[in-house]
Amino acid sequence: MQPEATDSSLLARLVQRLANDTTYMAHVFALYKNQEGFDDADLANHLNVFPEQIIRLALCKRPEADAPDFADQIRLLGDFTLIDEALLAHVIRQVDSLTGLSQNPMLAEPAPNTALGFKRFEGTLATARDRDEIPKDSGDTKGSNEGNEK
Amino acid sequence: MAESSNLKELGEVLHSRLIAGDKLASAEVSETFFPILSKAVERRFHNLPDPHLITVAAEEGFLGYLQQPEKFDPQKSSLIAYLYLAASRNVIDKLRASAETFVELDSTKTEHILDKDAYNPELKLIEEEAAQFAPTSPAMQRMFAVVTDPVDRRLVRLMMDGVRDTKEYAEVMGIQDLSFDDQQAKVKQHKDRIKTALRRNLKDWEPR
Repeated sequence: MQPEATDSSLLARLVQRLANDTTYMAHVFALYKNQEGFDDADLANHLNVFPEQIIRLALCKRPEADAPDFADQIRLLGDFTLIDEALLAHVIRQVDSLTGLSQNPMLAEPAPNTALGFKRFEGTLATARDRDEIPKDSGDTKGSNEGNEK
Repeated sequence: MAESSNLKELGEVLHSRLIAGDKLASAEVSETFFPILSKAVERRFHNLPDPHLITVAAEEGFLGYLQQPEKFDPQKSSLIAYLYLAASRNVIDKLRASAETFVELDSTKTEHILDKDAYNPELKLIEEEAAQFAPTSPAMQRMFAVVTDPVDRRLVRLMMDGVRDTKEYAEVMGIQDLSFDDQQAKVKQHKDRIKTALRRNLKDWEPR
């Protein structure tokens, strides 16, 4: 334990440890960062929030996208962390969609020229992230494929 | 994070919510108890040559609670006492696995601490120390540094405390006389306005 450790840095370490627990938002963020090629600062910039807000959200249990009360849970998390609800829902849905796709053997073969290591499968990826789902203020107007290939 | 001067009571409330599957409870428990726990364990084992071992032991003890909160019995001890003992046991276990470090420990004293559980004076001291300040999450501190309007601050506090009751927001906003539907609409409007204002403010913010 370092004497200068702040509450934020202590909690950030906890978030790192929770990244492997699929029930936590820490896991969602870990996958999202991997998918987008983000580091922590990139993620905070992308979501337009302070790092402390990300830490707080990462320590929450994640809502299930297919749960009947998904919208309510997103609203609750959005209020609790003051993070935009539409953007939050978008992150969870993208992670779930692309994680599901990565488990599809037809798409799992590595393809070095794509950021996610997936083969191009435009129809399915289009389903994973429709343009309509992308919040207008998220700054992401190009769709996942273009945005990922940075 | 809920405001409470009684850490034991707060621990019981947050524990109940965690058990009940509240999505926010793990964050509130972490923000309230993990920094206190880490610092208490660090003080207890401050003379060990490997401070990283203490950090890891505290993390693992705390994660053990998050993963299996049902093992904690509020009837037997306070949450902070439970967490402290779990983390201390972790430190001891890790030291036992490392024989050359373990010889530096006063094992008699350690066993004494572990066996006394919630009645241990050291644990009592930790609880008293922790209760001297109102725990506020780093996220909330950050928001309060940005949001300066008194009404907005109270609304932010309610939002970040996970308050869902529209009436509480309506009281802060002074719109109790409106119909419930109108109150809901106004409250949502204000919440959205605050979030939008924060995002705009962040664009000018430079990390330290």
